[in-house]
Amino acid sequence: MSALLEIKQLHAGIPDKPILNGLSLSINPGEVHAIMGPNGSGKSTLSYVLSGKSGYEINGGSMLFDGQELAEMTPEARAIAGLFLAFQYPLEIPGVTNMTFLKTSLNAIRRGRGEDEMDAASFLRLARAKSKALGMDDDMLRRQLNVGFSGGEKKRNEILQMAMLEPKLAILDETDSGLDIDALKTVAEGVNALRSPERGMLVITHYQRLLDFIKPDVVHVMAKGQIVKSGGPELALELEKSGYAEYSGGTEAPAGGREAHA
Amino acid sequence: MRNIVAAPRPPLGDAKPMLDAQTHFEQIRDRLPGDLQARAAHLAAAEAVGLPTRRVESWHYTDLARLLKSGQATPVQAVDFSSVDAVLAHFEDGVLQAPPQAEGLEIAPFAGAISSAEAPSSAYVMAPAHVMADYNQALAQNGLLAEISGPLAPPLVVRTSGAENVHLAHHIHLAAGAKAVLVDDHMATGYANVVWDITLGEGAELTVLRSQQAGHQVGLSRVSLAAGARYKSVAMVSGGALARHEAHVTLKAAQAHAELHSAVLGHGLSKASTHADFTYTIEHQAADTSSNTSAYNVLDGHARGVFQGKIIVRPDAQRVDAQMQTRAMMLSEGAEMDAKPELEIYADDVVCAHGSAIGELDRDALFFLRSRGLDEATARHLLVAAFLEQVTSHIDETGLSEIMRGLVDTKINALLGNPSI
Amino acid sequence: MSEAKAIIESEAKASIDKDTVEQVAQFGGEHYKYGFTTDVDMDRVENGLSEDIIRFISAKKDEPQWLLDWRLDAYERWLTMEEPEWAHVDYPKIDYQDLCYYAAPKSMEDGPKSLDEVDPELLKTYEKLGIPLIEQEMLAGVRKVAVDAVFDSVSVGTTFRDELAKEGVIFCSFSEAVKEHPDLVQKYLGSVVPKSDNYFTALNSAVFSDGSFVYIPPGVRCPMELSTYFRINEANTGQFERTLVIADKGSYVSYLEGCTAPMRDENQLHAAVVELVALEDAEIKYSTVQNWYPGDADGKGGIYNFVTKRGDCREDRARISWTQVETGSAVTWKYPSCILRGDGSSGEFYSIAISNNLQQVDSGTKMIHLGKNTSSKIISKGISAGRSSNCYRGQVSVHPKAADARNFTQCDSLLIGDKCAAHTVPYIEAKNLSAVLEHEATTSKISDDQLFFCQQRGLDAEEAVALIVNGFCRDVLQNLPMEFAVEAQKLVGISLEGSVG
Repeated sequence: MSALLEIKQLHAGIPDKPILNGLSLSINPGEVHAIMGPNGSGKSTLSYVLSGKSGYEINGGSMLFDGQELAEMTPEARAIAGLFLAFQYPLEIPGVTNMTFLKTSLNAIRRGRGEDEMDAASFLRLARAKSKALGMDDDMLRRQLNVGFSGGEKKRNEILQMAMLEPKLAILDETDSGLDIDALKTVAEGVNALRSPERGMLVITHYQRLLDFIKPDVVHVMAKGQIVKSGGPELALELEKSGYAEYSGGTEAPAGGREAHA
Repeated sequence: MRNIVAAPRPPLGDAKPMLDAQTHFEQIRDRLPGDLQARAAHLAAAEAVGLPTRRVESWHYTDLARLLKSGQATPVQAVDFSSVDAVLAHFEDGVLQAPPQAEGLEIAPFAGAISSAEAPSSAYVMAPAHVMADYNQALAQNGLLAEISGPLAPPLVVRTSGAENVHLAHHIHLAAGAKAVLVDDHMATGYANVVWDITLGEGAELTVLRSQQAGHQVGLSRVSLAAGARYKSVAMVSGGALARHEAHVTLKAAQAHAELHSAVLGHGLSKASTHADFTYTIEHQAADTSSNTSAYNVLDGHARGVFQGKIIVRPDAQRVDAQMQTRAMMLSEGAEMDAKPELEIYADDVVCAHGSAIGELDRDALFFLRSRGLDEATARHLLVAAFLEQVTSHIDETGLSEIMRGLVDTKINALLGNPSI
Repeated sequence: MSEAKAIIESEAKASIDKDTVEQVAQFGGEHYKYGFTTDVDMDRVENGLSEDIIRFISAKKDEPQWLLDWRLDAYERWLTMEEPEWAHVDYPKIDYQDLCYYAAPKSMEDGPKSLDEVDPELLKTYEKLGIPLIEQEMLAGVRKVAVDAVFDSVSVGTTFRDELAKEGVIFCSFSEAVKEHPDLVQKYLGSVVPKSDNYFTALNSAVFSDGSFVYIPPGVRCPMELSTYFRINEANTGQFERTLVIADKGSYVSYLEGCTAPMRDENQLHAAVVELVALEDAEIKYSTVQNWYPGDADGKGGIYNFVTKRGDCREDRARISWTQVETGSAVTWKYPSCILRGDGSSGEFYSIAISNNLQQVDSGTKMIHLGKNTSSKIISKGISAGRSSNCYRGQVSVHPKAADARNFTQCDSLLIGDKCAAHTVPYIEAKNLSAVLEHEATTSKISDDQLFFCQQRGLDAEEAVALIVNGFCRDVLQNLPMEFAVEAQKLVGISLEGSVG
């Protein structure tokens, strides 16, 4: 079985500042990987480089997604190919309703995949069913995209988009940040419902707490732009006790399972 | 020639200077310092255009010729700055009573008409009011030429008083890193054309507090800010038949920041009413500059408030943050407010906004206060004071802020009666 | 199925911009699709402006003496006036002697009695433009729209006239109105926009050729949308149309106006006058999608659009609402205004003005509060891209006797790219104690983060821009009649083509 995502010796950063320093990572369909690491280790950069945010330079290495080199693809082409990023800070777009946005996005992706666009009625049925499953009010679909949403609503909205777009690989960037425990559970349930033998997931988090709810198959520790240690779920628990000190030079507080900060 | 100290008072002629500038010039020319030819050239330039009429866009709401014939010369009480150890430059009928002295302050002799080397005109400033500046350069009999080299501890109060018609040309320069607080205390009851040329060096900080209580003033401030310089002007017009306060502020380099706040407490009936006009052009020439402007007008009787503010963001002046707010509270039939807050934007990565709100004293708030036991007069006083507090709160200097608040309070009392607070 | 339909309908209402991107995609790569020319024999007068030309136009239309005198008076005033220079626009001096002031298809000479007799070539033109000039049975659910089609200097025909006549509604070309309803025309012509209001109204009053006339009798709710479709076809021709809409007591009408022109290298002048009169309790809703040819990417060609539109809420509780989507023209100079004369009358102005490439827009409104308890609302959305310049200029004026006047103004500018300009010039004048006037203005850009977010969800850059801009304009788009809203959304996308790299 070939890997869904195969990152080899990836070097990337912003101009004059290398952030990822020869990072390698391989995710197979059906696997959930977690990347943990101290602040500044390059976790969010990895998610942006994978999804193609401008402003980052790739200085070496490769990132193959389903056999295609991501570096050569536009952000939307990556989305069409099945790569989904749940943003740490979801954007607000005034005047565009959530519903419009979802439909536009879904049909753009279907079109890109050579599939038929979904008609309005089927779309509505689907959107309503998916949002209901995430415990979201119908009202949220009518509201303007993320405008006036609480932190929890924004994150749930990200998961709704993921549920609608059914990606092959979902990257969840600090999805737990800013959530209280109830919101965290709801979001995690939504994510778990999307686990499938075909779908890979990359869960990026600072805290172990999220991993109580989304059980990873593999846990990686990231520091200074590299994966420095990999292991099973037990690695996350280990980190909870010992903290990141040995990876970040002793300054970072322990990454315990306590309340996350916003 | 040192003509800055008290000298025998030269009579400056009784011609209405703005309505017959040429005659006025002939009458006083022998007593004017500096290059008479340059002055004559300024006068010719001004006379060729003539007094701005309402057809000139920036004078649309201020009919200068008409206003110059209005008003009454009611003497006003001087503001007492004794509590703050200010140094005083007092121009009585255009004559400096004694040169101010303080460490870090250097005063040069007034050398006559000083052609401003730096005209504020640029492709982005339409129809600058150079005519009034030309009249000023032609007829200025005095002015303060101040060089401030370091932190100036005491506030510098420039007081203008008297009943004569005067033209004053002040030049204030703050060297890099210098800091000063300047008070422009205008209590003259005659006509005054006052030009302030102000330059701030890198990182310099100047706060200007203005008060006009009387008279006809046509004031123009031309302010230029170098990198990191900060300029703050807090103005209060509480009387006078004409208070035209025009400012051209140019932010020339990164991190320069300008704030212009004004409060108007206008009153009086028909020809004895206040006409307060704040007209600003704030030009962001460089990236990473910011400005914040607010204007609060309380208008009673037949008072008229005018606010014209134009924010210009030049091409490539990215990351500019410019905010502008106008508020007016109308207290009587016959009052009038005209606001024209403009944006002229040539760069895309900017945060620029303006807002304007004109209305009566908030009836709901009045009711709320009364339902909590305040009588109507007290409630009105409180609401007007709270409204103007939005301006006075920008004065950080403790002693001065109390003096200015005291002035505001006195004027509100005079306007609304003296309730028991 | 009925449930699904209900859902769809509710969604359509809730989200006017729902199908934007699909529609934009359909237009993919298509630029100005109305740029074709129609080849018909034209009757055109020699270039130049003089009393003789005015007499010629008037004679051509068989006008009564009073109207000729009216024109000549306007011309005399025009000669003494100067072209306005205060707007934020810059264009080469127009040589008014080098323009043609009357051009009409020869086939219109004989005055065809009905649409069946109109030159098929002309009918084909409107078909190509998507304007139905055939009174076909409409599909259920689609509203009927009556059309007056103006081709250069003449009206080609007006649909649904008989059906409208049953209700007493008069909808015809201006020339016909002069003949058939002279009393109404003489009573109201120039009563809202005086001949010498400005340079362009004086010019229009002297040489106007055709346009539409609407009269809605007391108490009648006009049974269908009325629309005029203006087409400039001839080269080197000015179009000077005149529209007069009168809503008598207690009546209602919704009126739509569309405009296109061929792509030509030289600039062409369009100087129209629109007058609206709303009497007691009457309501007029006037919507425009202005899609004149904007010139090419280098600023060559395009229409100069110098238009005066004004509505008079002449009696109590009259209401006038202007909605405009301005995407075309090389230069736009236009301020649809409301005179709120009647007590309790209200005026609205909703505007989207898009400028791309080298287009220049100076547009806005005037709300003149004269009566008591009058209210007005202004929502303006300006979008500048390319090297264009986009200026909102608006006046809200409350006169001394206008007690309890209310205004709310929101004007927002969106900049796309760093070579364009956006200006806001509001004049706010309160001469009454009880006026409550609120004004807000903002300037923003499409952020890279917003673009990236949309791209991450599969949209390409242009789709993303179209989506975000449609969101930005939503408040105004929602106010358009549904048929127009769809067209307007497409235009938003097309107008901004090439605005992002």
